[in-house]
Amino acid sequence: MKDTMPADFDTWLVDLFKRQHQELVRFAARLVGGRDGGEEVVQNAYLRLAHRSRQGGAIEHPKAYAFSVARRAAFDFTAERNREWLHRVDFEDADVGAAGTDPTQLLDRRQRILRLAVVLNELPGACQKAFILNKIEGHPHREIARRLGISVSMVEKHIMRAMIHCRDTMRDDDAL
Amino acid sequence: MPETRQPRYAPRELSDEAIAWIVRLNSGDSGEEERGAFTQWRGQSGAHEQAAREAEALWDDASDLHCNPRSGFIQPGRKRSGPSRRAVLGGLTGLACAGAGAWTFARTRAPLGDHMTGLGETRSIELADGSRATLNAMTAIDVDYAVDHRRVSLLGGQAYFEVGADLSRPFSVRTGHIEVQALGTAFDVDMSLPDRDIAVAVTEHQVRVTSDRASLLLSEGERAVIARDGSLKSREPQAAATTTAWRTGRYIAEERRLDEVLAALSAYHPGWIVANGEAVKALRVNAVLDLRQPAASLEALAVGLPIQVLRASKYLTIITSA
Repeated sequence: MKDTMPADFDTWLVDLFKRQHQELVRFAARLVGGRDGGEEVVQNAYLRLAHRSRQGGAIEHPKAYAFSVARRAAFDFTAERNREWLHRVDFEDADVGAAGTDPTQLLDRRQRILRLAVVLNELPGACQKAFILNKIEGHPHREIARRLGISVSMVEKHIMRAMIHCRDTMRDDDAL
Repeated sequence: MPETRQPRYAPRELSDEAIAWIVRLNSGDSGEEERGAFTQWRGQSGAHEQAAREAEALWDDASDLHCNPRSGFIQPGRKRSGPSRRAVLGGLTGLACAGAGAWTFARTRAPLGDHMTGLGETRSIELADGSRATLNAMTAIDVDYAVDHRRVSLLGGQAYFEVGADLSRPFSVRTGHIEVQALGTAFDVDMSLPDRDIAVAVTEHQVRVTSDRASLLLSEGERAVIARDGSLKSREPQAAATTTAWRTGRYIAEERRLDEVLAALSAYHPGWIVANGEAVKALRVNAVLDLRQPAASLEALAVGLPIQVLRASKYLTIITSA
């Protein structure tokens, strides 16, 4: 497997830096909405990787792993940037009903929302657009199909894909 | 402590199916029939329910996002204007929350109640006139005393009042839709019940309970339940020891519906307790439970009832039929 970890993790890290740097920054920039933020996220991701290398243990798909570390660094970056929102309690939340029953749960929910926002930015354009039009703006599938010039079943597929992506990344993150 | 565990997540195929349901139900083209079919689908097993909850939670969490119209960048938090998504789709409601009302959210922000308690906490408060209010867990009250009245607003939870007589200053407790007028007495008001019912139980003398649709004189050893619309739902004898058991950390259920018992436990249990299906909610419970050990109490319930307790996560416990 060309993707396995080399014996010397630090060498690999330097290697990765050279080979994947641009790709990682593009990925991170997409997640946090800007090139500058992307650079910062990737720097933080490297720090995490370096820390991980000191702890030892095998990493199975290092490239995928690097991207998931970047994703996690993007969560932290976004949390920092939305710190005020993360800890604010709105009266509007009182009618959400699902948000839980105490501040700890509310914070937990906010953190989930934050992660969702980040991972939704990973999605391809049409998929993201279909999801936003339906979930956030409340348009029926039929109308979205008309707007985007695709079939109703394609709209459904896009939204499914968005939800499955969210679920998978949320599960991944929960497992840590 | 014995505990029934199941995998943290439902299998992927089930989860995919649940997501497909949620997507279809929110297509703007589905109606009662699909909704009913989904209810049936999720009722098939604990794993189905778990998958449905996960999908619903995802969908619900995504409500609090907004999208920059120019850059297309998605950010957390709601956009504050625009048409209500709910109005357009009339989609699924989120997770049903057993017990505790919405007031708890606002707790961290404003001085909402003059006195309040948190999860698993009870407190006894001496009021200005020497009357006493004992608050059950997750409860808040406001006190308004004036020369001609003593008024307490119960904002959430459950409280027991021991009232000193003062003819010139009647003592009353108000909740959302009822008023309880004390006639020199001790009584309990519980608004943590399912369906926003309110229960009033008297342990000494009498109280008058008034709502839009009912007015009744309730005597020592009686308990009345007033429905959300103000109508009298039930009236039955209840011993004082049963009424006030929570003050010593116990809950005495005599022919109590399971959902009512769960609502009482949830004020002591971190996270949601969700009963799956009307048949489960309506099970009758006869038990003495330890409120300070909510998880163990749930297990005790599972021994005597045809139910299964699934701890889906730190924040979610699902009760299904066994």
